[in-house]
Amino acid sequence: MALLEIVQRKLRDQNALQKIIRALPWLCFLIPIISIIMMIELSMTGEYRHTYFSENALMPGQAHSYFRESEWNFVRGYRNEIVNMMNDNITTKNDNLNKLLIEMGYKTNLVQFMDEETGTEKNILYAIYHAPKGDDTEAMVLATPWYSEYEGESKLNVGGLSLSIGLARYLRRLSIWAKNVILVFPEDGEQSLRYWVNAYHTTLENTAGSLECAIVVDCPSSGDYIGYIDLEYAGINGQLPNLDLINTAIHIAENEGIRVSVNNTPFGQLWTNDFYSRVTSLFSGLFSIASSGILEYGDNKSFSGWNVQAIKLRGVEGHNSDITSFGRVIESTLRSVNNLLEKFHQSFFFYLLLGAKNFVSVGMYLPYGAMISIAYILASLNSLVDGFNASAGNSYKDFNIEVVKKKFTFKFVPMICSIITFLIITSTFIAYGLYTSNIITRERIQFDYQNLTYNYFVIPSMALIFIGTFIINPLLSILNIRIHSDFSRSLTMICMFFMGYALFGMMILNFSLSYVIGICFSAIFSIRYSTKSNFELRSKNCLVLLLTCPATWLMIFGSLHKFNAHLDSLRNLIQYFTLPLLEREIQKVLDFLDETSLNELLEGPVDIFTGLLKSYTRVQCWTWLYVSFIWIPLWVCMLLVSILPVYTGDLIKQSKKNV
Amino acid sequence: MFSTPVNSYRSLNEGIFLLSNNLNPYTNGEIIHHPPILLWLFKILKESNIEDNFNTDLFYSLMDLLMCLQLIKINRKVNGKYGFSSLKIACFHMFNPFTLLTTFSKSTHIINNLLVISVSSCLVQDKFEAAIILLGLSSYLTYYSWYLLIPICYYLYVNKGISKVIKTKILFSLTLSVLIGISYKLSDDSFNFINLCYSTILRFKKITPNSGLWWYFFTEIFEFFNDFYLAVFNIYGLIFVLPLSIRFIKSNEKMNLLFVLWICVGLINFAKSYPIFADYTLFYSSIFLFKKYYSNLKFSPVIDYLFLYVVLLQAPTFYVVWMVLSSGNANFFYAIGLTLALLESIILSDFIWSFIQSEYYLNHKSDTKEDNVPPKLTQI
Repeated sequence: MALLEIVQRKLRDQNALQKIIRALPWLCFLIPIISIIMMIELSMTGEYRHTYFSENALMPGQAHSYFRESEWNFVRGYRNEIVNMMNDNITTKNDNLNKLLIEMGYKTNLVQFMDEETGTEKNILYAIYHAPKGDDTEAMVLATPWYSEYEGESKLNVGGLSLSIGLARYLRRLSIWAKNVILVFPEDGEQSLRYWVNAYHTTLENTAGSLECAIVVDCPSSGDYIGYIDLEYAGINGQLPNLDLINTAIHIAENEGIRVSVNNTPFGQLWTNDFYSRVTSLFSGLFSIASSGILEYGDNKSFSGWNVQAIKLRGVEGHNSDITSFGRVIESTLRSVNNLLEKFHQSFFFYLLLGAKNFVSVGMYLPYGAMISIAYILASLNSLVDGFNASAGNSYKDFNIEVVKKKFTFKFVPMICSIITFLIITSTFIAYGLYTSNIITRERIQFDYQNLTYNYFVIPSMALIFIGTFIINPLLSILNIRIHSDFSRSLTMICMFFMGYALFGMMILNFSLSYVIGICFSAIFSIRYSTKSNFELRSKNCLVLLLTCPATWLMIFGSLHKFNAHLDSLRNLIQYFTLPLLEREIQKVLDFLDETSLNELLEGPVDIFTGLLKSYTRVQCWTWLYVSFIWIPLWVCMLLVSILPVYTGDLIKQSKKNV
Repeated sequence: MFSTPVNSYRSLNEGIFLLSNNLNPYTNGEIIHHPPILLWLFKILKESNIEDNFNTDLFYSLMDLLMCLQLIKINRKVNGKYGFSSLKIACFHMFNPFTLLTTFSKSTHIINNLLVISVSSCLVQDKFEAAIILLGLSSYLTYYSWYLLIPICYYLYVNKGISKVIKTKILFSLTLSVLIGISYKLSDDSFNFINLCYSTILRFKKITPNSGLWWYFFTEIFEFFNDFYLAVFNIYGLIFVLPLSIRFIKSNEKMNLLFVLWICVGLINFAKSYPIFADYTLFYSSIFLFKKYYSNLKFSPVIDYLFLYVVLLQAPTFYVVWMVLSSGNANFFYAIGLTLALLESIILSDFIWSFIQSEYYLNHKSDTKEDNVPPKLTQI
């Protein structure tokens, strides 16, 4: 305590408080930038860690796998069967498959359900092997959708299906199982699989205990060979499978000589492990976790919310390994999980992958995320002492502690008004979010989403910004309709505090989303209100509002999505920077713009907006709710702050008299 | 958070259901941990139904209102015109989220809150007998309240001599024995209810996660140390009561007695086995009675409150991470309990320090007369 006392006295002698308060506006800007730099720095040697197995029982790849040449013949045979019935409808396909599975000795069930979104009836076939050794309380799932979706195309999952049926035959004959094996063949990996997972936990009669892990197999190629495995792990709402499961799959695959790509790493980068590749992987992982549930909501994401550790293995076309080694990866992973005595609880549930074999744990990256929310808290403090708004009355010259102390008090009426305004705006948008989030199920109307996106979301927000800053603000100033500056001050304070708090609360549940939103919104620190508003201030405010507007970011992310932008090409550009390369990249963008009409480009945001609106009904994804509960209302509040001209009370005069 | 086995409204309902089916929950079974008189009171209130009726709503609102009135009364008596106005005290209490949530959760602990506040109110008005009887009732309901007897007795000892203390103690034990006697009759001539009600609290028999500090230590892994922890926690709550009384109660100043009672309530809060939100209601609503000491505080109560809500609102997040998503574990939720306890201890020590300071200034008035700035105290 004595030491603290000394420090405190030193600080007081140096007039530190005053200096800190003066530095607050700069700190607010600096902290998010530092945070991003620190996130990048995580990819440097010494910051990240190599993955390792926490759970001893897993013993990945210890047993010899017999899923080899002789089974390859069966896989080929099943592939022929599938190709033969390619043009049949799904009922016939399932019937044929059903017969096969019954012959092998599985208990099968056919589930039919109504897809609410499209109004069509869909089929799901699932088969259970009750392991005679086990106590029938735990199960592992191998899910293979009939049709898999990749980059907008729906393809018959030929390789995946033949492999799973081959595996079904093989697994049934092994005597090692202590956990039940469930094979699921949904019509697609999205609605059908989600329906099955929900039904399994609620209504289905034939079940096989709690699901310990789920592997979704996807391999649309009909060839005998695959190039590499693409592993997807991001769940809905920031939920991730246990790192041990991912490690197991990757470890086994590498033992079999197959490279594994995580976070959309392209084939050419699979062997590299340098700083740039890790940064790329880190941020593309971050974005894919933050955006999961919006555009991609199927396959392993279908298992989210039920405590199932799920990954998706996609065999990508190529000529490196034969398809049975892909099968061996699946078999060995299942065997490892079979070894578990308890459910997955060791290792990490919160992590960011920097590559197949490197990761950062929660303790390393959470502080940098927390920095963002601290920046908002500081901004809130700053608006309390009114440091931003030098023009609102006090210049920096006569800015001292006494003035600041006066600032801690608010005029009662403006403060209450600001609280009420904040509550009204927030509750309005909470109602709005709840109303729009289940728009599909409530009213079975086919919406024109293009219309919905632009006429009801993007254009109104843009219009609000421009009309607000360039028409209403000058008009009110001219008419001399002003509000007390304490209103703007306390509203800013409340908003910033709320934002900081909300980000922090979200950080535990969904770090990536909270981080992305925190960064996107952080330009808001430079909103100013003033007694003497001029054109410069107005255009500055307008720019800031534009930068922080959810609609703007919707447009940006939408266009990038349509453009199929990969972080990897950016990495390539920076890492091997030469002018011709830059020219080529620019040419690529120009070509793309040439090829696609404006209308096509405008579809990107529509896709994302549609995904956002539907995501809650589809998979209980909170992203849209979060955006409409937090981001939009706060943005509207700040819009209000920047629009309304203010007058200052006689605070400063009073304080001078007192001094 | 809002209810624990010893004061849950739901288990009270179960008890009522059993009673109305002619099964006495106290003779066998371990469902109900409420004192028998309380159960019978609610049985009459709810007319043997499980569904809420107008009576229960009225009962809970009345409890809340009475508590608010008592607070106002104490404030008027003790602080006079120096404290907050009655309207502010009422607002602080009535619009306090803790109070609202407690009332909505219908935890039976709210009755105890009212009793403790009434005890203080009676003490302030010099009605010692009434205070002791109410304290007896409160101890009967929640066990821990008897700790408060110590400062009261000490106060009487300082001001009125030893004979009054003995009388008080006799009165207290008489109240308790009458209550226990009635309970004995109600629960079909069996003393099993003592085991169910008080032994559960003392020995922490029903392990459920709550916002307190106990439960974590009684999980299966630490089973070996259970007795040790039981002793430590039980002693911890009690050990500070007497020293605090001796230090702070020196004259017949009512404020001092009230302050000690309040500190004891705070101490009990984090040393008790089943703390709930209702405890915080009592503690944090009474903060506003001590406006006198605000000037010497390191952290203003506004900041305390802000931190408190930030921490509390995190609690559901951690609970979800642990229970629903199962990607976190018990440590996550316990961390919140620890932070809450830390906050409370900071508030407590801050207030104690502030109290000592103002006492010092009062005794050394002559030193500060020359320039009106009192010296900054670092150590006394």
